[in-house]
Amino acid sequence: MSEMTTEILEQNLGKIVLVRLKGGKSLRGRLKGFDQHLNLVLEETEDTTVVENQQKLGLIIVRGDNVVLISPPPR
Amino acid sequence: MSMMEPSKKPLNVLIKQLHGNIEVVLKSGYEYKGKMIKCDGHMNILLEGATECKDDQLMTNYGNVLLRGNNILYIILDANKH
Repeated sequence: MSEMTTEILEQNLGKIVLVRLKGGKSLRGRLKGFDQHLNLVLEETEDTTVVENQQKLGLIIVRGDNVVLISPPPR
Repeated sequence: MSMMEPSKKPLNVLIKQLHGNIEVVLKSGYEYKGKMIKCDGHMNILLEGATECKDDQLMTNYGNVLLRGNNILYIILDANKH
């Protein structure tokens, strides 16, 4: 994508991040890898869209064009 | 296009707001207010101390948020004045 996104995501490698996707899904997982499209490899991933029913997804790849935002979690 | 003064091009106008408070409105209707720390040629934006609103209701406070540029509908540059 650009040097800026690469730099930011490198700072978050190995950390738990919160990812919002198009369509309204929210994911929380450990950032294992990424590329210039913002494709992501997340491990220990959970679908946190529905607070009462957080689904474990484990190791996943997210396609970059679905990503709306990436944030280190509130804490 | 080649006649336009570079300083008036959208991405250059955006860069001038670095370290200022902006409001980003997405196609989905979600709005993010915060201090713009970084931006790039894709209009990807890193906001610090971002708040997320939908329909004028506060949804979430974030620390840093990286917004992917393709989701942006428009950006309010003088968010302090509102």
